[in-house]
Amino acid sequence: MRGVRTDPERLEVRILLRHAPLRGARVLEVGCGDGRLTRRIAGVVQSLVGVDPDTGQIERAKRLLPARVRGKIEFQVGHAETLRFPGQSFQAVIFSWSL
Amino acid sequence: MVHALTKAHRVLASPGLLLDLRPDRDPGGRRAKPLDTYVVIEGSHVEAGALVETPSYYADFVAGDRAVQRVIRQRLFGLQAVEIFRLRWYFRTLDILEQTLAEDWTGTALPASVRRRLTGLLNAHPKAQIAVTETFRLNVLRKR
Repeated sequence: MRGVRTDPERLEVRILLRHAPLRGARVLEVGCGDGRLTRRIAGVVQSLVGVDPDTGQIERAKRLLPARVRGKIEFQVGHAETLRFPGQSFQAVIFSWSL
Repeated sequence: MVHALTKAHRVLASPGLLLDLRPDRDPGGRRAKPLDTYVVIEGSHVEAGALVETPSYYADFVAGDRAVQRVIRQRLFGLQAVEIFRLRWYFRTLDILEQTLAEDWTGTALPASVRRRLTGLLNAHPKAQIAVTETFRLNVLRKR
């Protein structure tokens, strides 16, 4: 939403990266919403799939994704309970405010 | 929620990390932590009161905690680290905060007393913005 800034200090990402070696990792983000967190970690991961049940949010996430990371970031409409990926596909799974 | 964590366990390589990032509400099982609001006036945060959450909204967070505890008990994951921190949102106007509460933060309400306090402070300082802080938790779980 315009006029709202979420965590401009980027504390969330700093804490995430302090605990998780996401650099060069294959990452699944469950509950990616409009890709706010995705965009902040896109630069360090090897690849990332973001899933969210809200079609509108996924469309917005795709629109807002910078061109420089489009080759390694993918967004899909989906639920955590119905993840359709091969076993052991990812080195990290992030539940973004989705539990 | 447990089913979602079980699915995540399947798609994770071994050893892989599950990062559970969400609002922190129930450290002792007794009460919610408030979402404090402030008016930011030339860099200073002036307290204006707390937003309140509906019981059902609060219950969702508690259920998340229980799901995490369950998959740890089932030895699907081991708890590697926990970090608690305060996340901040900034709203340019009171209208934008109220719109956000109506459309996105639907389990959260602005009490009349807090609204009056925010209105008074913003009238006195028209260039100020509103900050809301919320306690967050990062659970770092390692796949077993």
